[in-house]
Amino acid sequence: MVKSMKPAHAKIGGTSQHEREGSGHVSATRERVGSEGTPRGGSTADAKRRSPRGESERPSEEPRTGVVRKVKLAASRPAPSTAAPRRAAPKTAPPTAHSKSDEDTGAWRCLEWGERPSQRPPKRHASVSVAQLSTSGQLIRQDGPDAWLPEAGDFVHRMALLVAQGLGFDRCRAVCLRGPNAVLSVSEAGATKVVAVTGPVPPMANVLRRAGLE
Amino acid sequence: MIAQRLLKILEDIKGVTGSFVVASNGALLVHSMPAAFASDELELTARRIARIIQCGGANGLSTEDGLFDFGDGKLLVREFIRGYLCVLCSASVNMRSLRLTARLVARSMPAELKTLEQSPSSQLWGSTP
Repeated sequence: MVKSMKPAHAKIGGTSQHEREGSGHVSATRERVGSEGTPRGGSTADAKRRSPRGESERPSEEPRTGVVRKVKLAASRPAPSTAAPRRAAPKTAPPTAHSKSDEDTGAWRCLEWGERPSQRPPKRHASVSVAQLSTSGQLIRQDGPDAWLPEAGDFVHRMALLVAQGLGFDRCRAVCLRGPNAVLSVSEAGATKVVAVTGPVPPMANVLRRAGLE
Repeated sequence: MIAQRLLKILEDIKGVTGSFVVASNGALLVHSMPAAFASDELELTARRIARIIQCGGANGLSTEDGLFDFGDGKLLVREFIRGYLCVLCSASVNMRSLRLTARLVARSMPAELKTLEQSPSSQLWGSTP
């Protein structure tokens, strides 16, 4: 009884150890894939190479590495049937260099690589500064190269409120100043916050459009 | 006064309440605002507008156009050689036509204001009844 139990136990133990090693390998692979970001870090072919059952389980993902014709269709006119499952690129996001070159040449390329920039949130322009202030003038958050922005934003907000009151209004929702090269915008964000943004004209085009100054 | 007539052109645009001209140093040069707006209050407002634009200038922003959004109304500020043309209007104003007209009025303004400033007896002020 004991003899029969021992090998069985040992077998179980061996198996479990092997499984542990195997699971460790799988978890390590998963960690690696996870750290790289499966949808963005590697192509579908890489993912299939990693997973032992990938080819048999996910044949439907094969067309994800499609042809440039589809990209051209999505880029030139927004067809709802093709563009619907994907996330549409924001209007403010600048067109990527490789997508332009692909459109020009009409070369074949992997769609997943093309999708990468659009899947990420639009990156803020490096020369745009943002300062978030409380209505009392305390700095909540600041980002960007212009260190003067919080002070100037607070001053502009206070002065604009006085201008509004002088002209018979209760408050000033937003101030937008446009120069030849730069834009400064100070606007209320809710009842307790003020957001000041400054930067060159091209990345501030949305702000100008909203103010009617474009 | 020709300057006031120029400002009256702006009132042809639907939604424009009135307008005034502020010198770069904040002095109120001429205005065509309804009588409800007191002159001393307008003077203060003119100075504050100039301070805001100077604040931008101190930080490297030479303002050409500015917009104050008050919710129910807007104040468009257009820079020109003699100062700033300010147009008070409602929120529903056609900004495109307002900007275009303001630009034309501002372009016509400099020589006119110079003539006014040169004659000490001339009255720069004015208000519509």
